[in-house]
Amino acid sequence: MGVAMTPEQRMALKKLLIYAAAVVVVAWVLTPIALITVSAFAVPDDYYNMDKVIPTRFTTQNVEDLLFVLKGWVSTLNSVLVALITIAISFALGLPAGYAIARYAFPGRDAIKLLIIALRMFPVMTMAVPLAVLYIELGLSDTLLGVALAHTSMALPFVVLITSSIFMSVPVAYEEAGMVFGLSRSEVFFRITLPLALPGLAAAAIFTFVMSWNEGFIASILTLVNRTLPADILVSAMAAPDPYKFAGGFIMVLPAMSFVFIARKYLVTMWGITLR
Amino acid sequence: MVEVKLENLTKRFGKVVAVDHVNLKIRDGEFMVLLGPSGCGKTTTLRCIAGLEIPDEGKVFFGDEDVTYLPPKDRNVSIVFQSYACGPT
Repeated sequence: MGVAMTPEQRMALKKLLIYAAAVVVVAWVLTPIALITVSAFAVPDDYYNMDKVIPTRFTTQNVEDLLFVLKGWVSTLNSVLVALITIAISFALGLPAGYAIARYAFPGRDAIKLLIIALRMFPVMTMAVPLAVLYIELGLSDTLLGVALAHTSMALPFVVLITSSIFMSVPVAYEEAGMVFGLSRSEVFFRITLPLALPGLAAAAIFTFVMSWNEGFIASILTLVNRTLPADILVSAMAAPDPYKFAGGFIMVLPAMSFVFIARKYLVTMWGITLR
Repeated sequence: MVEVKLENLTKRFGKVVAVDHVNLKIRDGEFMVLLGPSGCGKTTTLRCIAGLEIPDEGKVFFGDEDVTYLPPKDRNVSIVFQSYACGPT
């Protein structure tokens, strides 16, 4: 540039560049979501009108039709139930594992941690057909519990890793002080460690919820009648007119969006220590 | 108060011997200081007395009572940790 800048100007320029980068990132993330939202609530006439880039008249008719005429509320309820069962099972199994990895040094700890992550490298597609056959034999096919079990196997590695990093952030000295002052091992966990870890664990629970909520592939293979929302949209709403697709997309996006707004300050604790 | 007695107290972490056959008697009401360089086993000895570590060999007595394997909550001892352990109640 050649023009000498005062430190103030340099500071201002730096600030401007950071803001510009932030705007680009936000636009990258939010543009599709904004488009989905606008299209979901646009009057179909406006949506199909080539002369209107942005619709001007809005209605909740699309979302209502999807939920009540196309029975979308049933699959929405199914999705919520599946997600809740997934949270219950993966926390019942994942919390103790995460705690053990965080607190105890035992032989093979790092190998076990690696194996848990490696589980996520396994492509689910290759397992789709055997899994469906197994489910039919076990009578789990087309049940919500079956889908929840499949989702648990996907969510469990994350639950173990997230909870272990949350438990690591609770100092051991707190637990030992509790023991010296008269708590047993399990009382220490429930009265000291768990309350301190609770915000992070809540974030992990919502993370599990969103993961199960978003999963459509396995859910559409394992169910026929009792479909979850993404499976339902994937199979039936894709044949519907565009405004219904966008209405479905809008409903799908809601929990993940609210999750990020609520849990963003815990996201660093969730991943912070495992990334180190 | 009570007399604290260590008999042949030994604690190993893998191959490292942290406390090596310590015999010690602290009389009732006595003020005792363990002095030594970092890593010489002061903390480990105290943790064995408090019950936070179980020694590999030897015994810990409070008076005549053998407390070597007693959980910390049943020992009626206090320990102040190097780092503060104050948390929300």
